[in-house]
Amino acid sequence: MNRIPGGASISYATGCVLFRMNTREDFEPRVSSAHGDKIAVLVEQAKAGDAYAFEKLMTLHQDEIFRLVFFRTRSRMDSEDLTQDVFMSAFKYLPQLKESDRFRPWLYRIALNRVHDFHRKNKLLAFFGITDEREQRDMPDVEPHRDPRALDGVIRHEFWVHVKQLSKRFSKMEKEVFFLRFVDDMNLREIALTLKRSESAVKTHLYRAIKKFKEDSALSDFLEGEWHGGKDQPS
Amino acid sequence: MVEKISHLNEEQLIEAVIDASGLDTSLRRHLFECSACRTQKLALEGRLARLGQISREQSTVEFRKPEIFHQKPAGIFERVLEIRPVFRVGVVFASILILLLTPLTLRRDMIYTLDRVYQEMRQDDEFMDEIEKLEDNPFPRTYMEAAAPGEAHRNTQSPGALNDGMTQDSGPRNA
Repeated sequence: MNRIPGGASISYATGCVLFRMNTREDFEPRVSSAHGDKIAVLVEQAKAGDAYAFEKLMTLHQDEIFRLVFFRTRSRMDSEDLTQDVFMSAFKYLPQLKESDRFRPWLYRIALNRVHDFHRKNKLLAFFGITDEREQRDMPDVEPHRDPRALDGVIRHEFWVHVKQLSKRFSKMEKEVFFLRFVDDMNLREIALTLKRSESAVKTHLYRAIKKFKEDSALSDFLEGEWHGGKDQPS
Repeated sequence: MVEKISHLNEEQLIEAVIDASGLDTSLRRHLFECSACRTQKLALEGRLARLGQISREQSTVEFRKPEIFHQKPAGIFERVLEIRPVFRVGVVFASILILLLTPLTLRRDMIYTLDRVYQEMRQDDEFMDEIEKLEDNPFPRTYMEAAAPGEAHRNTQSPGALNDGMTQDSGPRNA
């Protein structure tokens, strides 16, 4: 059965046409209706055993899944293994996915579960005295792509310290919701589906998280500085 | 009458950032018209977007792409390890059971079965019969025949009876 997705983008933006005029491009839902349709078709084909369709799905999502994992583990090697694991699980359990338009939240949920398992395992190792220095890591273990607008090492380190401090102020759910919304670029409906919560619950957690983010003056100053700095730079 | 200007407070501003459709129509209209409120909202959105942008930049690295369909065929050992967890537990349990039962299985004579009890009882009965025969006459038959061929039958009596005869012959006791 081919379900027609599109609620993801439409439901988020149907509130008010007036506001759509004011909303920045960044805050528009990432998944367009056509894109969602394409993914739903690929999911149906993959469920029917089409390996090429699954390859396509993997190609479409591998970067964002790796990014999600890497942001939360900050280790490239672990992230590579976990990303591989996520897609292996997705391939294995894809026939159990009932609604094809929910592939992305479903995939993200698998990824988040893998990340939680990873952290749980590390905590267990630390508990038994097998200390893992990665737990203490403040910034990623690899250099990001170098481009003319990339931050230098000091600023990068400062950024991760700020993010870590902000994370400490969040509850577990606030952290999940906040980073899924602003780092992983998911809309409210997708977050609700990923975390198996209602949209109103997601909004409440997001509200609290943004309030805490707003109160974090050090991070705000850092971002204001970087934002204006970035804007001033020639493209 | 001039409408009173009421700017969006912090809560409403955050609500507008999360989902503008949740705001009242009047607040939405105000946000559309009021440049001060709009600037505040855009500033907050900008900071959040910047946070996401930097995070994504920091997390964009070269990485090994996941592969599912081009993996090497698993060897025999890997195939054995790939069995289902429940089956794996079953195999382990069966192995332990076999390990525990193996000594008993190999030495069946150690098992005290009912047949074994019957056999022992039969052996005991045979032994008791032999004892009773020996009580009747402890001397081997060949000795008796060599001593008095005619009295072989007479002498097949109990040792007690023999003793009685000897006592009768000893005169002093009867005197």
